[in-house]
Amino acid sequence: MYNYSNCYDQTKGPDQNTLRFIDQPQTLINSQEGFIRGNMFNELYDPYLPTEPYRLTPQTEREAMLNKVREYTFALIDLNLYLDTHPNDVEKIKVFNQYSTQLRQVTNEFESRFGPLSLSSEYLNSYPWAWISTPWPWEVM
Amino acid sequence: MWKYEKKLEYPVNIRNKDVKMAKFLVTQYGGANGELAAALRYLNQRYTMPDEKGKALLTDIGTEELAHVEIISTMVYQLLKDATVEEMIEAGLGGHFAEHGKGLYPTDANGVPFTVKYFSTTGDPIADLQENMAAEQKARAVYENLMNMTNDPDVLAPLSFLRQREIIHFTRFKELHDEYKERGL
Ligand SMILES: [Fe+2]
Repeated sequence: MYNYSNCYDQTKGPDQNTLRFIDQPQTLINSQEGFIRGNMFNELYDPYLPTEPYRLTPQTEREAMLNKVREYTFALIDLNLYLDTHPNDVEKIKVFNQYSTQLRQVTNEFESRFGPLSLSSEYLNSYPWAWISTPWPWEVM
Repeated sequence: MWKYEKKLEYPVNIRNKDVKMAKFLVTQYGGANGELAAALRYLNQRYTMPDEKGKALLTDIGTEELAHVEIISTMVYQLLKDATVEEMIEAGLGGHFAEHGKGLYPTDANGVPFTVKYFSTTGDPIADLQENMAAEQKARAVYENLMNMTNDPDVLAPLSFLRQREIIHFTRFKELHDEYKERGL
């Protein structure tokens, strides 16, 4: 029989040497820049090849408006992931709700002109069925 | 449940066909470090996360990865769209054409089909989160490899966006992991 002793130093606590991201500052960049970077947080941004992120130059008004929808959608996605691990950050919750209001506005504007983006849209009461009359996202514009 | 939105998270508009790039890029669809593996792994692991933060994070990153599956699929579709059979054979996609035509099929860059082994779930939150942190780093590295294989800004821009998301996902998994470690979960 072996007598296994715990060689782990309990007084030190786990993972003393692990860098904790949780204590790092995570300040927000504006949603337009955050969207083209793919990252809303200044301190976490870590580009690879180009020093400047790729600029999006929409060729149509539809694409330009859709990029606004994408921009606020993205801000909400990234802020939500942050809030999942930092649920007590009151300031970021405020910013989340500001972007949420902006997303509702641009989505409504987009859908009123170019048709529904989802089945919760208010613009599905036309004939014929509007859901199949707008382009699918994988088609080249 | 999930709701569909008729837009990509990040726009893809590839004007020039590039069959060879499609063959390499498909690994981020159906490869070990690809988006499909990530999406399904996180959505599968979330049930046994020990607290509300974990259940939320795995659900939300898993959901975003589904949007990334759609971006990569769109890229592969657009790169292949105008390719001839001869061009596909020449680029090493003759086998793909024989089996799937121009249809999408999740494989890695060597044509090895997607497998459920990529789910890699233990039910232990620390082990699962470390698995996911490693997966995010591997996905980032594969995106960098792919970025070195093309000069087309239509391809580079979405790859650069997706690569940046891996950095964020890694950071969030690490935050959760470190908190669980500290709380002894
Ligand atoms: Fe990811």
